[in-house]
Amino acid sequence: MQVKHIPKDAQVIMSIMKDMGIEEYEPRVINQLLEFTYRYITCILDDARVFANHAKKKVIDLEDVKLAVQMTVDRAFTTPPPRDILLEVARTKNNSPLPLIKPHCGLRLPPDRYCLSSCNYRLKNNKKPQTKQVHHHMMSGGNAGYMNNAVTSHLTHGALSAAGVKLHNKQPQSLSLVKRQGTLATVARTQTITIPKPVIKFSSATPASKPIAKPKIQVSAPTGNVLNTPMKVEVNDVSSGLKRKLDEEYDMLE
Amino acid sequence: MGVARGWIGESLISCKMQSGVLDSVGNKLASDKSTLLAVLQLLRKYNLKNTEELLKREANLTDVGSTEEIPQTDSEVSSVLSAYKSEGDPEVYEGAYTELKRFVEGALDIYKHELGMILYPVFVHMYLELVYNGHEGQAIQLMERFGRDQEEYYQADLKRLSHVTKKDHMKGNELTDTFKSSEFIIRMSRDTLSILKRHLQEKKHSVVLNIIQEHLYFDMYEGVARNKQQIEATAGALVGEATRQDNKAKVYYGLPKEPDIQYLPVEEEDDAEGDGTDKPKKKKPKKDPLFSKKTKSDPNAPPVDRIPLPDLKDADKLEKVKALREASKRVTLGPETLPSICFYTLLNSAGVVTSAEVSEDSSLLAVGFADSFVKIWTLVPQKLRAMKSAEQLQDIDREADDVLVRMMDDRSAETSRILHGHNGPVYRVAFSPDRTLLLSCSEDTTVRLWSLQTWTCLVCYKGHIFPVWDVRFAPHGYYFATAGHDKTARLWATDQHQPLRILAGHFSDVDCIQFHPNSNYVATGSSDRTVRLWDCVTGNHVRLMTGHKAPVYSLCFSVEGRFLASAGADSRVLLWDLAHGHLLAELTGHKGPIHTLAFSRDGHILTSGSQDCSVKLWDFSRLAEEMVLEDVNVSHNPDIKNSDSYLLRSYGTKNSAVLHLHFTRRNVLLTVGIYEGS
Repeated sequence: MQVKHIPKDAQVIMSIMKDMGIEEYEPRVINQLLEFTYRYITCILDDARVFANHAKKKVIDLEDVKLAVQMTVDRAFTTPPPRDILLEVARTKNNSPLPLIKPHCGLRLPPDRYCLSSCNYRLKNNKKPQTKQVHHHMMSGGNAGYMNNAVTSHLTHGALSAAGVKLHNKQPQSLSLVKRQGTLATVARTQTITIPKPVIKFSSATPASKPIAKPKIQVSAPTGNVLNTPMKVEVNDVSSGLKRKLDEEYDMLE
Repeated sequence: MGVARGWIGESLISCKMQSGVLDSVGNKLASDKSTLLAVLQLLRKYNLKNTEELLKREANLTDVGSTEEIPQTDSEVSSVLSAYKSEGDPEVYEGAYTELKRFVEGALDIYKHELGMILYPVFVHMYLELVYNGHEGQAIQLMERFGRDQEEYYQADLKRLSHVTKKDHMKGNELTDTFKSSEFIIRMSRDTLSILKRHLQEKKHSVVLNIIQEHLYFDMYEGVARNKQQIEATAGALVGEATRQDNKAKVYYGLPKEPDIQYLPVEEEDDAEGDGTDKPKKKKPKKDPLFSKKTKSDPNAPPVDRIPLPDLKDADKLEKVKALREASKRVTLGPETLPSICFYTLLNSAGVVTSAEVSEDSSLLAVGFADSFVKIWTLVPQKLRAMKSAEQLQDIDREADDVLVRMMDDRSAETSRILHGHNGPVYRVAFSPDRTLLLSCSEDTTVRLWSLQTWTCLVCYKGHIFPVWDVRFAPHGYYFATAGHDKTARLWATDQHQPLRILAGHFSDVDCIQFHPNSNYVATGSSDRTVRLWDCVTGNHVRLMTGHKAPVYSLCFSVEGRFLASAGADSRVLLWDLAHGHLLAELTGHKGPIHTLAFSRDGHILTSGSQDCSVKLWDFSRLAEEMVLEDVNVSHNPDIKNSDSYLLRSYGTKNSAVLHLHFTRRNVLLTVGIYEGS
């Protein structure tokens, strides 16, 4: 029967545990506590050395150590706020009446920026030399798996109309992207231009606007609102015609 | 000084200071300058200029202009004023305590036990005074000599106190802060109180007198002094017992009338077909026998609009009908007909599984793990399906009756699913009543809402800055409540990113929380060994129930809402009557901490599951009957029943601690436990 020689520090830990009334513990707990102790003490002494140097002292003083301990305790080992502060906070919070419940159906969730239901990535296209880069935001809600690019452009435009963007009533029907004057003339083709609020004008219908006229609206019942993020859409010459532009985009995406 | 003293007295009483301090200020004269400065600060705060001038003149503090001596914040002021500053000779304490003990033991038997209740708090405060004033040796000696004499259930707290031996240790220590700032409440009959007062007048022991005046609060009641058994029953909480004030408010413990769901579209097979399609189809309400009995309105039920509740959707109404049908088929339980029990054992899960929960219709089991996952199993042949993708959803017919079935993708059926997202052990999971949402709370201080249709996390609620121990959905949905380490419980709604109510008042962690069946009240159990009932509308506590001797881990309301069962680490189940907050019964028998309680669906049987690997069944219907027969009002405490006659059966398992109990709608008991192989 060999008697394992337990180092002195470990014996100290064991006696601390006995003092606190802990009788049963796994043997690895001693190692864990020892490690913690070493790390903590080293940390404190390091900080104390920094403070001593700052005060131009040669050796670490009791005050330095005290300051180091206090700094660490404030940062790491916080305790819950005292009861009177909690009561005060509670009193303030409980004064407002319970809000009425809106009668709409579906999931009742907080505003979108507090939810985790918006898209958390965006696709960036490969850099092709002659074509423009298009950024598409995919609005697949929480379902990350649906990366059908061709579909996204449907959704892109569809969602644009669905997202409550201003419509000009004069020309209903099809969609054309309005070129902002003055922003394009000096810009090279390979650069992207982001327009924060695209103004959508509906002009008279062309056959090419087929995908647009029937906007496919994202079903939003399960996951809440779909589109709040601004659209970044490349704008190019309107003269090239709507159909061709869309075809080009499709070509790029494939 | 007469007028000024009166002013000071009034203003100070109104700002929650113990009036006893005023006596001590006067008595100690100018020896305690900081105390006087604190009083000055308080007067300044309340703009009592004349009084301030008078005090300054009387106490010769005219040179006060230096602000560094004056305590700045409110809590500092109160801490100085209620501090343990005493000029008592440290040697005197032991003698004073022995003297007090001798007095208590010499009193008449009827009064002895009630008088004995002051020994523990006096002892604690004596110890803390000695420590605060730097008399470490005497403090340790006092603890060693008299610590063992205190009651069993105080020993844990005393052990924690004994580690505090220097004044610096006291700062920030939760236990000492609690003792320092809150009074220990003792309920005493008028006679006992007068005996005590007379004795203290006679002896003029300043030490004990000061402590009693400053730190003890006597809630007097008329009537006979209580005997040992009655006192034992409600003793044990961290700061004493509940005052009559605590339990005065009216509690609407009844259930409101069920909303009328008779006018549902008649089911297809019963449609009167055939003739006369030109006749307008009369939507005859189906006179189902289930709905025919009218529930008379309960005077103790809350008005329906007391708290805003979500309306029932069609799907909810169908669910209710289904539940009622199942309820009609269920087995009525009683001492002769015990439930069948089905035990789900989680293997290889000791130290890994932290919580388990079965949904209301017993179709889903959710388990929370210590490595931050939540895993959901289906307990019925129907598998777990995910919602179809967006494009597929566009193709389904939205007007179809079974649109809720069609929107799920059959190809994605699985028997179990895992939810990732938390950063720490998941301590509790809760299903929403309609089973589309799941809540989980974790050590990472957040509460997450998951969708059980898309199997993703929807919202992460941040509010607690410390681990959250419990989360529960309200029986009507929409609201949920959390209990955390920061001594508060919070009431949330799923569409608010911040809590609606903060329920503060406990002195230690809030370990468990439960909604009342009418969703108007929330009960919390805490490590300060009390159970509190809170009103969701105001956020104030309406009942304070003491009696547990160890932290409370589980709460369960009875089916009709009048009674509350609580259980905890002290291995006992306590039953409370919410009408007045009285303790009704104490059920002992378990040998380990009890972590789960459940009432059967008809309310006849109460079950408890514990870490001693057993499930016990108690006869609650007989208990409730006997309760109704007694005439109970606010001041008359009912006799507390003892357990032996109420235990129906005890079922042991091989070595599986019981984690969760759930009665199905047909009154079959489902149990979830963790097998701990040696």
